[in-house]
Amino acid sequence: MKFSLNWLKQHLDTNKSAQEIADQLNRLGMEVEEFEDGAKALDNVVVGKIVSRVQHPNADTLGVCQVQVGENDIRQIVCGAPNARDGLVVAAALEGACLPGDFKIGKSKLRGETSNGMLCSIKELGIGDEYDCIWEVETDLPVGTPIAKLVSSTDAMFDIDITPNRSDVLSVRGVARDLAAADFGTLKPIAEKDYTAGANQNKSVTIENDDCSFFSSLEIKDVKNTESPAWLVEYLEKAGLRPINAIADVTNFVMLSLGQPLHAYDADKVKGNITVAKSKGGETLEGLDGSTHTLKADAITINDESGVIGLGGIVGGESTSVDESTVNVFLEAAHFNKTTITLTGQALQVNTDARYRFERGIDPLMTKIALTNAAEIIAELCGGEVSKIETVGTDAYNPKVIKFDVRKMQTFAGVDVDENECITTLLKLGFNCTKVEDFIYDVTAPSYMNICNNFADLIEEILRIKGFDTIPVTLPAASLRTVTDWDDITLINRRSRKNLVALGYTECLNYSFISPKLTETFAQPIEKLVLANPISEELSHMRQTLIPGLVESVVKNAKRGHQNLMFAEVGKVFNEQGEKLQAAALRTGTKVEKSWNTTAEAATVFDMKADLIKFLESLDVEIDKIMLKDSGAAKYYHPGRSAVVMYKGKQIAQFGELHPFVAKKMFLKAGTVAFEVELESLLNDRKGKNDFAISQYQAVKRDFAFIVDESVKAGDVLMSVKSACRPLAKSASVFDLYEGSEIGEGKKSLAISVTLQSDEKTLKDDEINKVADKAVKAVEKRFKATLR
Amino acid sequence: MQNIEQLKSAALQAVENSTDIKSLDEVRVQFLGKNGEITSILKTLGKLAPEDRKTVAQSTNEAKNEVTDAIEAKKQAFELAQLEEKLATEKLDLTLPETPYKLGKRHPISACIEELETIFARLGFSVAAANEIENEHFNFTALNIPAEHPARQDHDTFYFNDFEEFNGEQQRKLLRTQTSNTQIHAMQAKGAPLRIIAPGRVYRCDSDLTHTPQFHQIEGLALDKDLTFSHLKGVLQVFLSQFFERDVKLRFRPSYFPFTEPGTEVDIECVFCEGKGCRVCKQTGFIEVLGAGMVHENVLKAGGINPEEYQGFAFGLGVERLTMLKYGINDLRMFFDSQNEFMQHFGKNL
Repeated sequence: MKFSLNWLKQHLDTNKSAQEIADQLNRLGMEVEEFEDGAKALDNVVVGKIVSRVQHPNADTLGVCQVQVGENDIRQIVCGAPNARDGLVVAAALEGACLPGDFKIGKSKLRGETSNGMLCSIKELGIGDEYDCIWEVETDLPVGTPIAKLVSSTDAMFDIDITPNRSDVLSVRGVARDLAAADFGTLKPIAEKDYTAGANQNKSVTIENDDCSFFSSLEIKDVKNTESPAWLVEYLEKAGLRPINAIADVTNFVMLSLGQPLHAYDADKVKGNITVAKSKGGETLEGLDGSTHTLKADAITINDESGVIGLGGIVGGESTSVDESTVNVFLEAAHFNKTTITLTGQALQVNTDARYRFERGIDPLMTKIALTNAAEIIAELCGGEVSKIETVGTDAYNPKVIKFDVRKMQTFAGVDVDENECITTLLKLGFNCTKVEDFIYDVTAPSYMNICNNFADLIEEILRIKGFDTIPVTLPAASLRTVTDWDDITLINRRSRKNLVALGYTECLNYSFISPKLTETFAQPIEKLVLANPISEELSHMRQTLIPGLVESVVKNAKRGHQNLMFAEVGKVFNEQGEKLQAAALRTGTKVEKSWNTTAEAATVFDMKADLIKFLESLDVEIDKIMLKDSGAAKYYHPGRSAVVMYKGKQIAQFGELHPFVAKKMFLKAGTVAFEVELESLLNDRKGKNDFAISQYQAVKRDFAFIVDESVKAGDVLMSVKSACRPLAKSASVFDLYEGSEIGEGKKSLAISVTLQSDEKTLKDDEINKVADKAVKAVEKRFKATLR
Repeated sequence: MQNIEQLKSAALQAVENSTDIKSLDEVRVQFLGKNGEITSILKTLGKLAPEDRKTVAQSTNEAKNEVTDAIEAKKQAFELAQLEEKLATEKLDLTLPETPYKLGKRHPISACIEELETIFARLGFSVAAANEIENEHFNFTALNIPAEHPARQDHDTFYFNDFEEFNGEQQRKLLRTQTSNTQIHAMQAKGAPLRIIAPGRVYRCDSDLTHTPQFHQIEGLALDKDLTFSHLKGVLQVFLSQFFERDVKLRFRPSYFPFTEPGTEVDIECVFCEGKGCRVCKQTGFIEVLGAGMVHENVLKAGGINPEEYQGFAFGLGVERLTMLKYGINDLRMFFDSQNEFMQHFGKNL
């Protein structure tokens, strides 16, 4: 909300400076978003005297003036004003001044001549409109005196942010009242004109809707509507409102001054009497906001005999609006239910100052005051005769009684405020307090703070006035909760991010929503995971896997010349069942950067498998218990170069080379590899304590080379060897793979090394041979293998 | 006897005079070889008179050992010299670049979250998590923001065309606009007393220079029988000072969040100009960093906590803003753009 200092001073008698007021508004909970101090603009502007003026050597229109700005202080200032002349007393802005419009004054050179300031016009100082010549100051004050001493009418502008709980300050008067409560001045009374005795109104009002509890009106006959006078235009423009005509402008002015929305109808355009009713749905209204609204049921409508002429508390109708030809005015000020206003406003998407105030709550006792105030100003500006005030319904205010224990200041806020101060503060704010027993009061809020309804509200009010900065800073006693109490999901989340970085991956945080096109490339779109109101279609589908984001990240960087990238992300992915935490990694390019001792060898799916295994191991997965399935990976993987990882009966991960078709579509380098791990499937898998002993006995190695069909899986053969050698097999590995004509078409040779060791004794040759033999037989039998 | 002493001296002298392993070995053969001069004496021991035998044997053996040791020592010296000579020829230029294995970088946001979790852990807060797809009840209603509340409109919420039943009503699903939803879930799951923080992603339908449709918040909630606004100030003072690694000056302004009462906005003295006024703080000397307040009784009730028995405070802060302030990052949108240069520069090490 914007307003000027002069406007504020109509309601507040104060000698505080604009800066002090701005600071206090912040302390009171009205955040000052913009503040322009007219007085501050006069800092470093002083009374000066032109000692001499000579023609500028290089510019016809400029003069070079020697200006006396202190007893022994003469400065050269270049000035283009026609009235600059020897002996003239002027307003000189010196280095460091900052004139309105953030115009900073410094030392400069104008066409080669040094200028140490500026001689100012009245407009340049922000204190008037004259601008074509410099101010000819008439004063007896000596040179060097701050010019502010001569200026009585500096103004300041405030733009404050008002939170939804502060309906009481949605008016200049409300702000003045709050400042007065904080001892920042005295609230001036409002002169109320008595309209109880005028002529009767021509139109009657009937209320047929409970959402309107009070409706007051005045008629003003024989007005001459005009443009608003300059003072009114200035107030409204400074408040950010566009002037329309005097009558409309007065309703806006009074609303901003006092907080009560008003509406002026051209009485001659209203057919017959007025009824406040409830819409049935389907009615239309051409609003003053320039659009035609089709109403839903239950809106509060203002009707004449022709139908709806206004939406109560939201927007008036075009058909009955006041304009320059208006002669008779019907002026309304009413109470409307805030929930209904909100729902109607939301449904119709109309945002008006009236709606804004009604849905936050208005002061019920201000309604009639605002109405008479507006009528008085209209009559003043446009002439006319004001009728008797008529009201329907009641504006009575029945406040809720709040039990307030003043000791709560200590036990809830932690601040020691004595009883007397608490109650005095509440009284200053307009609350009524009645002591009912020791420390306990019955408190009722003033009509403008009718949303206060519990003790915490009262504490807030007292603290606001006292200042939040007066609350002491103390630490609560320690709690016994520690890091070990953290959720498993938090811990695995944190470890995953770190471990991926340790593996060489750089962590991305990509958007949780992606484009429909990208979604279709990687998954089946799921209707319920599509945003109803996305920022753009590009960000409309919740991601089902982290891979698309990583792919886009890589592609984006590849365009800028980054070839070898390792990116990873840990984040939520979404599917039919809900959301889960995933960790994914993607790499493209070489195993390591090409350097003097490395070759530019592409990273393969086996490098990715290695990263995956290391990653899983880093999360305490027992690697010897995982199983790979070579089918079942997502369709965006190469069908022959991808696998899913099974662990304790659950699928925990998948990895592989991305499908060449996907790669092509995404402009991704062929051979890009990735993995995804479902972190939640690894929860509740804390490793128990295992028996541990280092064997005292010699380990021996046995190597075998099997020739098998090329379709036989190396992992299966390895597993078979290991299980045949159980419990002596400590480890087994594939140390060579050979395919070639030597061993026949469709065959391959797998060389396997197994390490045997007993925990109980040194193995003898015949024991070793027996185990080895068992392994060979098992492989031969299961895979139709032959020993090479 | 004289003979043996002389022989030993001669042998030691010869060892000393040897110039390489080969000449040293010749010395060894000369004195200790099968027919070496010392060996020969030992061979003739049997011919000596029994009364001389013992002393000659002893002195000869001593001489033998001494010479053997000297040869061994000399040999090691030669071998070491030889090795040094060889190594001198193996010198590598270690200013050549290392094999380019690299660590990755933590995203500045996720690193910052971890940093904050660590600070709050010291203050006794544990970490809680909640879903990002939420329903209206947990994102709004339970937080004292009923359907017609003006604050609901200020949230720029992303909605789904999907509903779920809750409390006998169809609740529309949405992307949570604040981590405050965790407050309710944590209260319901753990009860009071409680001290949690909840970091995570939140979403708002807003995108421009200073807004991204997704960002991160950390919610904090502390409930106990005697926690006051004064404690809230204490916790925030400690946390912000630790985070910014200096004694930051805080400013508490009355503000409003439907789930708190009283509510406050918290400003820190501008970290760039130390309160003198600059472009970043818009000449005000202060920068807004978070919102906080005493938990509203309606929120406690929604979380199943008795407001007569427990009270406490909550706070919510934007992680991006804190990260930008701490590390001098000036473009919010870079956080979600995955540009390698940005991530290598601002990314954090393990």
